[in-house]
This record gives sequence, C-alpha cells and structure tokens, in this order.
Amino acid sequence: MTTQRLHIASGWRGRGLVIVLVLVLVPFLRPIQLAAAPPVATVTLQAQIFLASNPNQPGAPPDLRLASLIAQLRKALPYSSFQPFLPAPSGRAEVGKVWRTELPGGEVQKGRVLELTPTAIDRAAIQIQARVVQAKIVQGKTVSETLVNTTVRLQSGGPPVVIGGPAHQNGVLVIVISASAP
Amino acid sequence: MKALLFGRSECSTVVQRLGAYVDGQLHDSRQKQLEAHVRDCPRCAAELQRLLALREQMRRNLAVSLPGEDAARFWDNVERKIHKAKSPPRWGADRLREMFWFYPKLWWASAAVLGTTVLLFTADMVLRPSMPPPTSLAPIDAQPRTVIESVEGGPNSSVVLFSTPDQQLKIIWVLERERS
Repeated sequence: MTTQRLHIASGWRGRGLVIVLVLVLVPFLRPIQLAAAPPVATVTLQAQIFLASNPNQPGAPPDLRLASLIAQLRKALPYSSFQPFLPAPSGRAEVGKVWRTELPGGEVQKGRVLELTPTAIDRAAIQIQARVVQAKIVQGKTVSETLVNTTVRLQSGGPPVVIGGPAHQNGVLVIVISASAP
Repeated sequence: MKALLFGRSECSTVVQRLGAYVDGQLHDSRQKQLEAHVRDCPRCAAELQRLLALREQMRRNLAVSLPGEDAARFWDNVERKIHKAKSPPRWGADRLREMFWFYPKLWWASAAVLGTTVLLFTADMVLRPSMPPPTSLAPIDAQPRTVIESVEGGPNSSVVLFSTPDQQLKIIWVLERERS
C-alpha cells in the first residue's frame, strides 16, 4: 500500500517537473516566433498630377473634389488653370521599396517618371524619398536624368507636398504627393 | 553515487537537528526520519549518544543548582517552546531544505531546469536573426505638417522651395535649365 502511494506520488512529481519545464520554455518560444515573421510596414501613396497653365480662354470647370486643393495652388502659384490628370495614380509600397508612376511629357515617350520610396514610418509620420527622372536623347542615345531628388516627411493622411515645374505642352506639371499608413 | 552526493548533506542536516530531537522538539515525521537515519549511520548515532550524555549531565547540574521555584518556571518555559516547535513547519528556507532532503531527485530537476534555461537563453541570443535598423522617426510636433528634409536638383535643373501663406502646402519648384 505504502509502495503504491509512493509510486503515485512519484508520478505526480514527474508531471510537475514537465509543467515546470514547459513554463520555462514558453517565454523563449514567443520572441523566436515573433522574430521569424516581422510585420511589414506598407504605405499608401498617391500622386495627383495637374497641368498648370495660363490659357487665353477659361478651361473646363475644376473637379469639385479637387476644388479646395486647386484653390490652395492658385494662392501659391502664378497659374490660373489647373487641369487634373484623372484618375490620380496611387499604389502601395513597403518601406524601402520603390513605387513608380509615369508622368506626362518629356522628350522620350513614357520617359518621365515619378519614383516614391517610403524610407521610414512612424505611427503618424512617413518619410519618403521622391525623385522625378526623365529620359532624354544625347548623341542619339537615351539617357536618364534626375530633375529633382528630395526627402520629405509627411503626416499620414495630412497635408501633401508639391513638386512642380517640369514643362509640359503650354504649361508645367504640378505633382501633389500624399501618403498614408494604416 | 547517491550516498556520495547526498550522504554528507543528510548527516549534516541530522546533526543540526539532533539537539531538537534530544529535547523532543521535532514533530513526528521528522523524528521518525531522523531515527531511521541514526540507525544506519554510526557517526550520527555516536553524536546522538554524546548529546544524550551531555543532556543528562546538564539535567543533574540544574537539579542541583536551581531552587524548586526557578526550576519549575524553567521547565514550564521549555515545555511551552516544545509545544510551539511541534506545530507543522511553515513554508520557508527550512521547509525547502526539508523537501530537497526528502526528495533528492529535486536536485537533478532543479539542475535540469537551470541548464535548460541557460541553454535556451544562449541559443536565443545566438540564433535570433539580426534586427533591421529602426525605422521610427524622431518625435513629431502635435500639429500635422510637412517637412522637407533634403532636396537637390539634377545636373540640368535647380530647385526653389516655398510654401503657401498658411504653411499648409510645401512646394518644391523645379527650374529646368535652357538646353543648348
């Protein structure tokens, strides 16, 4: 009887040791699992492109959704007309990855490109490298040339940054860049 | 192997408790374990005999030197202490030591847990993939705003920065140079 009791007690001690070992192991397993699959930060980018010009005759009335933005641009830039290119290109890019969209104009067909690269992200702020590059023909060869290279910090869903100036048709391009992070 | 590892520790514990045993202060289970050990251990048995002889000698001396009233008060105190000591041991260092004495496998279990912990900690430090550089930014102002951190033109262009009067829009204006 006593031997049987001792045997049962020994079995319970064995189970207790297994439980203790499992409790010790659990805290180590969690960080390894997290390290194996780090979350990927993704940014939603949008580039609203306008053709800014001073036409002799008034153009089409502006899109109501862009009226507020156009009013702001009119305050800052010496152009009376801001014709948007619709739909506005948009996309998503992970931090460190480049998102590209074609811009109108340039010497070479489809040779003008806007490149946006989210380089850092915080809860409310997104750091973006923006480049406008365009292809041109030099001595019969097509070469790529940077027009502007900038690093900006935008608030997620907040005010945009504007890049303007590349010539197109009878005016210039105005690119309004905004970003948001989930 | 077991005797080598635990024999000295067991004798040491028994010797520490011999005084309490001689005074009858051990509770029943401890008393039985100690008696079982002393039966098999000549060294502890000899120590017990030495203590019993000493106790007998002291009792004789006390009986001679203490007056009746003082002796009665002395033994009352002793009996009170014995009664107090016979209550079951509480959790603490003594109880822990007792557990390890009764269940020597606990030494192995503790060593295994400690070794596993050290091994896992080391493995975690060595095998953890290197973390990418932090991507968080410096603290920002409460007011949402756009910051142009750097800007440069190309080989055939220059840039001008300005903003709307209300500072809501930051504008980078590209000036393309005349082409020859």
